[in-house]
Amino acid sequence: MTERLQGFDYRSSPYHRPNQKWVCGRLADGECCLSGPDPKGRCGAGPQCAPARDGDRWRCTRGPLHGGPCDAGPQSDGSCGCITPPCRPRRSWRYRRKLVVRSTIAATLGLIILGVAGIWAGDMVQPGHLSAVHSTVADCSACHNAPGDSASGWLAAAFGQHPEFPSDTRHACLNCHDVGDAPLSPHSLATLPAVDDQQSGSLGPWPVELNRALFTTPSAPIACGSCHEEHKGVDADLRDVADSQCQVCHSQRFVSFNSGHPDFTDYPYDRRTRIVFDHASHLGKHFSDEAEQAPSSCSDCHTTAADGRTMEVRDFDQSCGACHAGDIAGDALAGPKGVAGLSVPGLDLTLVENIGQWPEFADGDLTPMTELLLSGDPAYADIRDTLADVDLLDLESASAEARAAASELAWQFKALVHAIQSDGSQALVTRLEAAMGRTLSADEQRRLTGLLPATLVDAAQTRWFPMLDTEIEARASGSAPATEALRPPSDDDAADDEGGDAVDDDEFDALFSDDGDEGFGDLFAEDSGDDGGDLFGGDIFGGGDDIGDPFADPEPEDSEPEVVTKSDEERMALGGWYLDEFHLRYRPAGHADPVLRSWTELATRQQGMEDWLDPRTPGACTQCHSLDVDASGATTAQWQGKRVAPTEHHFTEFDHSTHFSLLGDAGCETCHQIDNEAPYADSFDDRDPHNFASNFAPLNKAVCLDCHQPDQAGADCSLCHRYHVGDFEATMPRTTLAGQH
Amino acid sequence: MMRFAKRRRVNLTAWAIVVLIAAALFAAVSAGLTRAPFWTGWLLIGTVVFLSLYSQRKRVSMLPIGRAAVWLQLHAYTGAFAIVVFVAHTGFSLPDAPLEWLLWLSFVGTAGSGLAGLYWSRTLPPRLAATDEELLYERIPMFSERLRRRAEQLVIAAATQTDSVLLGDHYRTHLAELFMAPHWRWRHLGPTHYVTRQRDRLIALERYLSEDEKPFARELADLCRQKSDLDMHYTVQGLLKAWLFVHVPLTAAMLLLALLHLVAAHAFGGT
Repeated sequence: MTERLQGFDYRSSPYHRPNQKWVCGRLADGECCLSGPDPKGRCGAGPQCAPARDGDRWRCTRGPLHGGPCDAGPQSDGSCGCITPPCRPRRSWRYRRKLVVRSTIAATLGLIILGVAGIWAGDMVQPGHLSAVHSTVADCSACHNAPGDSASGWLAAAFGQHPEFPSDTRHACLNCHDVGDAPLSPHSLATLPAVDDQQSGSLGPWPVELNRALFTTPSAPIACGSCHEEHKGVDADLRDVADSQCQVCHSQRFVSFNSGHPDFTDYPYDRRTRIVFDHASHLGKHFSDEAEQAPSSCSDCHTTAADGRTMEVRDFDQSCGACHAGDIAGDALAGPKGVAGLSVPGLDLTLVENIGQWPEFADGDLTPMTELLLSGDPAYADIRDTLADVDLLDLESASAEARAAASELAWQFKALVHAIQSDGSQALVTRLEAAMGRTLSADEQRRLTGLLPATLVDAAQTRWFPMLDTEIEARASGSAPATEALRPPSDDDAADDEGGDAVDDDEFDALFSDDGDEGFGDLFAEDSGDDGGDLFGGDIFGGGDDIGDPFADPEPEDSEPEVVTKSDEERMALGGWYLDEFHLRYRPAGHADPVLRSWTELATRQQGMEDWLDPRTPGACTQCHSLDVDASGATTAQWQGKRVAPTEHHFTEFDHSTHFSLLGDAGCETCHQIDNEAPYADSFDDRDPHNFASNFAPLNKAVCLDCHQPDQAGADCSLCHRYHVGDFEATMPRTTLAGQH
Repeated sequence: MMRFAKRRRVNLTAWAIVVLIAAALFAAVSAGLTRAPFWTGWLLIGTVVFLSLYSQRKRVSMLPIGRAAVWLQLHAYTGAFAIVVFVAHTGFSLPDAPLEWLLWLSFVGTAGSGLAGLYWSRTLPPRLAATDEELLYERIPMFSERLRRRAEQLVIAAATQTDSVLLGDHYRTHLAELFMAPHWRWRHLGPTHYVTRQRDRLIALERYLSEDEKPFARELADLCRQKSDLDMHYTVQGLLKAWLFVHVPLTAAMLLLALLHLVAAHAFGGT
């Protein structure tokens, strides 16, 4: 039986003050004193009692905890005879822990102060390294509304407003990133497109549903950091967005693409094609009829865009040109192949007074181009209104006012011709600018005038109004010449003509070509006796009659030269202006002729030029290039098939090129299946691009689901959908050139 | 009085429900465009502040704010909850910057020491109670000294009464170091009760002793076992106090760092 070490009676269990700072230094030796150290750690050892005087003796008063009265007793002087030797008090456990806590706090504070007070303050508090794309950003305040190196500034910014960082700079991401006109609005759109508010019967993922139940739908401004979390390390993907972040706003609820995502109703055919091309009729009929020229695969006409995302239509020559190049040149047209630019309007010369000479056989209408040029004169508006329902070739029943207006119209037309002849193309530019109400750029001037040759205008003037100068002057002096029907010159007149100038050659060439019009025959036919023969034979090259045709084979002098005469229209087959009786016509220089394109674009914006946009007009741009009217009522000619610029960002995007290798024998038809019953052609009865019927059946979601499962090709929202929608590009660097401020 | 097992079952159930609710809320907040780290951050710092109040509770024991045992239970379960919130707040990832590392380490150190302390405070006290007597930690050096004196008196008495130095030599060679002072021995924290090697040696020595020496040897063996128990008390009680030397200072450091983190998060979290 071992003796117990610890007793708990008051004699054997003295209190050692473990909750005080200091304990006796001899506690470890088992010899600690009962008095113990004071709060400052000074040893309390000393006499074990204060002897009491008892008569003439001193009596020991040592307490029982010390063992009761000692044997030695007090000293003769009354001092205690049992002195407890002093010790070096030790810190209690409790006090040691407190010291450790205080030391740790001091060390932490020191570390914090050292960190935030130094130049590396920003590095100290940053929550993580920036992603690689932002690795060059060194200053915290470049992105945050707080100074990176001022701890006091952090306090102000955290719980108030830092004076150097007003609230409108809080979204500093936008200093470098352009994400549309309303970057902090949902989808970067100032106005969200109207959607069907009808909610689906299903629910989304439970966290999303719980979020919707607990919180209100996020509204603008939506901070960039809501989705793009920086300081997640160098390799972090800032565009990594969870599906739930999309789903929390959308009323159409579903769990994921593979579970509840709505079927495609019209994707990707959300509007009619820009180029009018009926796949059903071409594949079903035309390609069968023209098998040699028909494409053998989709890729003959379509190719991927540079970024691989969209499929684009190849250019005209590669896709349509094999069959339709001649349509542009007008090869199949029975009538004139060029577009009438300037035409002498036909007038009832018996009732239009005092207009001087006027071609008797002119019977044309005012062309859209002529009307636009005339409308450059403010007075023309009244004339046009007066003559709106008047047949200019039959003024018998017209009012005197209408006849006077017809007379004024004649003079305005002559003034136009005179101006063009006098000032050349500049007169056209002046008239166009007046009509359009704006200044034309140099490129527009070139395109809209088509570089009309001055000599051609001279020829037209000579043919149409031989006495134009005299007549203009006479009218200006108040004595307008009487109306005189101008007949074409007779054969005798033509024979008398020495062919001394190029204009005459042009005139006769055009007027009396091989069409045998009016029985005049061709002045330059074999029997004409004219050595010049055609445009290239006359004085147009300054060589005189004796030069002959410089391009013709040399003929023996004694033999009659065989002159092959082509009309101006034929000679301008490669494009350009030519004179056709009472018209100055422009023949397009193939597909995408800049002149016709510019006039077509002008016609979409200019009132009164609707006729120009008729698909049956020569050139026939709008036969294939659809005209779209947008919400503002503006008309746009679609010159190209769908093109997605790198700056365009749509809700849904599909990368074609990454899917090519997945397609089997069905190829493009895996997704794009032609709907032969769709009234595709009817889509172009009006100009609303969204009122249409696609040539193709809507895509089947099941095709995508073959691969797009969470554990396969992925089914994240952001795989197909973009958040930031609109047309925007990266903000250009602000480079200040040397010497510029 | 609720039985311990039932109390633990109820507390664990309540804790699990709270964690599930918090996890659901966290999932809901993370699902939206709300910045979840701000929510979890505030929840975490609130939780940590509440945990730190436990040490203050001891200082105001005069106030009727609940029994210390209840506070301890709250402290343990709230601490476990804080670990869950911390994991959610950090996004299951390691930090990537100086302050974040300091904060991360201080929390992990605090939580780790807290878990260790919880484990030790649940597993070690029964071992202490299994010894012959319960000893106050502060007195252990005194008891150790007392045992040493007893052992030396015993050896001297053996030598005097038996005229043999065998036991004395053995003490000097093998036992003096044992009785010299209290010893912190990790082996006392092991799963089985440590029996001193010295006591085994004494039992083995007994065959060489005379009949007169054997009672002294047995008594010395008992003193060895008593010293072993004393060392075990010294080690275990010391550990039960020592873990607080990590837990409490790290808590203080963590609160300071969290305060700086809070300011920085709000100062720079606006974009």
